[in-house]
Amino acid sequence: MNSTGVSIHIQDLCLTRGNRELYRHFSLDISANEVLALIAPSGHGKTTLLDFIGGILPSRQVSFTGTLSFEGQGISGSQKPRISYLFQDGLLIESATVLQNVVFPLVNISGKKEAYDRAVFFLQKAGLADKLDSFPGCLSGGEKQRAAIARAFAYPSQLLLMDEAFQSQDIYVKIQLMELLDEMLSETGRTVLFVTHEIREAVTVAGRILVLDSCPVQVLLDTKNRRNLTTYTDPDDDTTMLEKRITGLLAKHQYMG
Amino acid sequence: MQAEQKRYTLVHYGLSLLCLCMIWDLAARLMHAPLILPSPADVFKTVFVLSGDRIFWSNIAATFIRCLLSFFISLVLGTLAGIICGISVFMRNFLSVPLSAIRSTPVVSFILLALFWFDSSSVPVFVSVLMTLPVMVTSVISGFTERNSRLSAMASLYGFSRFQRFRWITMPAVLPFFLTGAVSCFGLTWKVVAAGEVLCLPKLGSGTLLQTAQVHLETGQVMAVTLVLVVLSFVLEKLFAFAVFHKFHRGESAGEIL
Repeated sequence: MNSTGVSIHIQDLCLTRGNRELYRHFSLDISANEVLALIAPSGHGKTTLLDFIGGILPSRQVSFTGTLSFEGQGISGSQKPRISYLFQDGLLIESATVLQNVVFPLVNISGKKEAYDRAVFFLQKAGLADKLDSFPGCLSGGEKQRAAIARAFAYPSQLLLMDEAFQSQDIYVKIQLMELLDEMLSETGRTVLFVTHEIREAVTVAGRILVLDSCPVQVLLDTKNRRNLTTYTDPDDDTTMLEKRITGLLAKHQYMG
Repeated sequence: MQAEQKRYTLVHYGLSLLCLCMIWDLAARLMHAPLILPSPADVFKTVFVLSGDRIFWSNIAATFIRCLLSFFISLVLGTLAGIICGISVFMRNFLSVPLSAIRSTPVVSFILLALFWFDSSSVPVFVSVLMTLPVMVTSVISGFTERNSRLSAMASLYGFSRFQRFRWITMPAVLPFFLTGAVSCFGLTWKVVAAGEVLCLPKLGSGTLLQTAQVHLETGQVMAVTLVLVVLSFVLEKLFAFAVFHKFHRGESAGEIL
């Protein structure tokens, strides 16, 4: 179930949701195996961008022009890469057990035994070894999110989209999950685009950070491919400087936008 | 705590029933005309007498069988039509016209028309199916329209098979609506079948009993048969709802019934 990441190319995206223009002539290139964090104030269309890349935009509410391509090729059914998406609210199937939730996507691409073993492995990593047969309704919010994380990580995708994935976790679990993400990325290549509100998280995990200031202004910051998890609890000077810069950009939007 | 609350609820129901009986008894005493309004005691006495009569139970059984038959037909046809309408927007719009027409047509009109087409023992079944079918179809359609679109998007991203989508996304969404529709249909069936029997007068049926008693000015018997029908309908509806929702409420999630 090994995979490698894909490069993403968004060209001249103009996107309107309802009456609101979210993106105007927006372009973005993400290299294969890159980890890109997306930071923006609420309501700036971060989830919409992930949905656009994932190809799950609700067509009734959204209209857009522009192109999206993976590995330089436009999307058509067969060329679309395998994508796993970590939704903000987990989105688990309530009528299936935690284990089944992780296994379902896997059984269609590998043998049953392999799918189960992989699902159990990632659930154990996510600290849910004793919850395999529980229904999501019996889990806390944080546990549900961890089950969703296990599902997204276990699915051998080329692109991982994460929408505020670690938001409802306590600091210990958060570090554990960031380590799991790091471990997974070291073992198999994947392109990751993740949305977060937590600047430290973005600075620690991402290779580049995209700050969406106000439409159509975006600022790309290079973190020099850090992925140094120790800086999450013990920030160095570079981390602090980057944090300050991002905070400044967001504050500018707050007061001027 | 919950058992105590249930006990209180039962006491409230009992008090309400007692009040109704007292008002009924008071009205009967004031009118002093058993032909128009017999007292509760007279009606209960008639029920007691009727309950020892085999023919009475044969009539009730005939109604019961008609109810079961029409309920089953509605359940099957309604579910199939609901699924088709849930999947196809064209079919949903196409069928909405006849379903609205059925909903707004008075039951009596259907009964009188159906008398031209069917024999008297089949008319109550036909009419009951017509009346309950829209309820069932609408319920199943609601299940489809209320599906979580993000969950469907997740299934599409993770490459769920058609069967997986139906089994794990659609079915859990539709099931609660289906069950609620089934319980409503079950309650409605009794009323429509009895009304159909009163107008069609099949050889056996509680409606025939009611009509015969009314013609012979046996008001007590009309009320006694009605009382038996009300109690039976109430008890069976509650039992059905209990059987259907018991497991549903026990689990943490709707889907556990699956």
